[in-house]
Amino acid sequence: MTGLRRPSGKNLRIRRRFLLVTWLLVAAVLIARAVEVQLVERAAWAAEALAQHETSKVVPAARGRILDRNGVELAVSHMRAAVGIAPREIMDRELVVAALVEHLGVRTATARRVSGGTGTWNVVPGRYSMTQVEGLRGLKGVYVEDEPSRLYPRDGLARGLLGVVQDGVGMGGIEQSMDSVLAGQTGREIVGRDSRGREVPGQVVVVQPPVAGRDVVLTIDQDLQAIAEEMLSAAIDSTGARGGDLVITDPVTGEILALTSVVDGSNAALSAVNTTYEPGSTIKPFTAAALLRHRVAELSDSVDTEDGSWRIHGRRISDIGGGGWLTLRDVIRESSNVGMAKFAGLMSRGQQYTTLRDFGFGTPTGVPLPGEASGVLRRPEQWSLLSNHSLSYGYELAVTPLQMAMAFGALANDGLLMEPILIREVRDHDGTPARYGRPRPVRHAVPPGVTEALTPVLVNVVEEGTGTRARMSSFRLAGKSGTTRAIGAGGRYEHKQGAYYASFGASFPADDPQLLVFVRLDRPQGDYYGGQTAAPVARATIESLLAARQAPIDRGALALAARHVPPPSSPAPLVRFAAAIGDAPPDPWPAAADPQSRGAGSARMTVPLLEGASIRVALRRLHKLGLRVRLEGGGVVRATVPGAGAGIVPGDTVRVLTREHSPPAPARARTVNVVAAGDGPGTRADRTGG
Amino acid sequence: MTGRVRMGRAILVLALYAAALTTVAWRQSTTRETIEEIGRLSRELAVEADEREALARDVLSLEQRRWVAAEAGRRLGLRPPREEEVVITSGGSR
Repeated sequence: MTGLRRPSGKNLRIRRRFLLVTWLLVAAVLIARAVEVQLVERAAWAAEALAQHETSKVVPAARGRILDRNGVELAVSHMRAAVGIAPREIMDRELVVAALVEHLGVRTATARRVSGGTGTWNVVPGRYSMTQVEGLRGLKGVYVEDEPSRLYPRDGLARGLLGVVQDGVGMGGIEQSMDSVLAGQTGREIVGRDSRGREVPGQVVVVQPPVAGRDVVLTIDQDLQAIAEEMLSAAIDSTGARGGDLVITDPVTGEILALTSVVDGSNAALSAVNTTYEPGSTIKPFTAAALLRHRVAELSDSVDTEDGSWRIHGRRISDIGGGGWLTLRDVIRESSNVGMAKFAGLMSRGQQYTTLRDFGFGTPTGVPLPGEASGVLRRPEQWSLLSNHSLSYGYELAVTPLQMAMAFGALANDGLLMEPILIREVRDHDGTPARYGRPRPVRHAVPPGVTEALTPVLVNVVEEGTGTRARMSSFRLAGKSGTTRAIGAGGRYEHKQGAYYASFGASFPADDPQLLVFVRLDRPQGDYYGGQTAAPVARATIESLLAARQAPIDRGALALAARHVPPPSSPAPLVRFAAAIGDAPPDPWPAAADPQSRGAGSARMTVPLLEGASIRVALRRLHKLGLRVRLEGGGVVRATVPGAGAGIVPGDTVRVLTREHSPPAPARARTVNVVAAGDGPGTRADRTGG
Repeated sequence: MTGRVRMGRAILVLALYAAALTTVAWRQSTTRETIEEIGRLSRELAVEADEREALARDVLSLEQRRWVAAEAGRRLGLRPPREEEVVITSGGSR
């Protein structure tokens, strides 16, 4: 005990007090901190705790369906699974790789890539069905997330029209234009999480339920749409065209029944709505409507179409053939550029402009699709000396195929231009109709008397003029063909072989139109005239929809409109929806592959070379081939329209031009003198007629 | 109070405590079991719905005009009728 110094009583007291004070200070700090945490920072800490135990999730709303006019689903939403991999959590990489390959069908290299590496999170490309991902359940490091996906159950039908959905947003077509209606409103839910951050099944509180998107019912008929796509595709295959458009509307209501475009082999674009072109001769009925509307000319008035070539203001306007005096009626039937240009010279610029404008050219139709082109129709102040002539046969203005279809629809609808309807109805998710698409007249483009007068002329185009390849034996069509030079990338005319747009518009049946078909082909190879390439597509389309199950046509009215046809000489019995091929080897729908081979005729043939032959010989040869002949003049044959070697089918009309051909002016008709207003700088050579 | 009585009370308290813990554990385990069962059924439902959807898609595909026409031609020797072979009856309507 000698070496040990005991602290004195005073020191002990000091130490005890020091210790006590220290403890008190520590306790005070702890209490202060506790007060701070519990009272001052309470909200923040509560929120952090909540975040650790719960997570807020956005609940996607079910996107509305897109239906056709009969309620057939064209686009629906369904759940698909996205698969994510956390490589650091994987216990057995080979097992995961094998499961990904086996159940998801991904390649081994992909499976190895997403399951390896140093990253914390990898996503397996693609979306998978619930059946596929079921095999991945229980694998450590593999996470499956359900998410809504868009499905188009009709295998790409109306692809361009419908558009697509990317990352929940509509891109193109109806998906884009009706996105706010289809998308609905997302909801929110709180999900409990365990100590490892995993969601606890069943611990879900829906804070805000999602509101499903509304269904959109289109005016499209899926049968007609399929027919339109099939016919356009077949026409492109058979003509070698680069693309094309086909529009079918109800001219009375303005409803679009089918709308399809093919651009560079794909039907994802909608050139029928967002691409313009010069309409060519298909504009001639509208020029004629302007002449009749303003009482500038009558159908029986005639002009001298020279030799089918007329030079004005330094530019040559020419026709395919013919020449001589033609009435306005003949000018439309023969699609004479010279005749129409001369007639147009009788109108004032204002008269021509207002009529074209009233038919909807130069303004968007208002169709609910993104990117609609308005087309170009310049105001008269911007016209050159040649503009009224050029416009008369479809140049110096740009239109979309849809605009043409609606304008032709006005001709078939007593001059009443309708707004195109594509949305028939919008329904709530419970099926309650929320909005209807009703027919909306835009304006009376021309009085009914004008269209009454023009209809027989357009029927004549199909019966005997440039549109004979659209002729049907049971029904009368009213139509007009057109051919124009294609415009290249630089905005200039392409002067390559076959660089033309061929088009044809027709109302069916002519007397009580129920359907309007407009076809445009982009650069058909070989025969490129609208009457030769686009007209047969219109006929084949109408022919197919006549046999369709649910085509939106009034068959009662059609039965009345049908003209008497002698029973076919074919021994095959008449059937309603299908005809037996008989003993011929089975051929899966050969007609579908080539619409031009269908219809009144059978096999295709070519116009024989008749130049120099006598009229009698020519008539005998043409009649023997089953062709109809329109003889002009006498003597020997100078040329035929279509020319020798052109494709043709039995029943078509061949115009035979002779050497002494110089038809006199009609006795009752007025003759019209066209005086040029002055010389202009035009240099462009004329192009083609219908 | 004797020591035996104290001992008895302590055992009773411990027993009650153990019973309470056991009840909580039992309830939690059955709840978890039920939740897992619900999860399993949900997945089964999703798989069944997926299969039904795939079948419906097949039906739609087989109903398509292109397929029907091709098969009617291949199996029955039929083709779409030409215009003059179609009989329009006045009973139909738009």
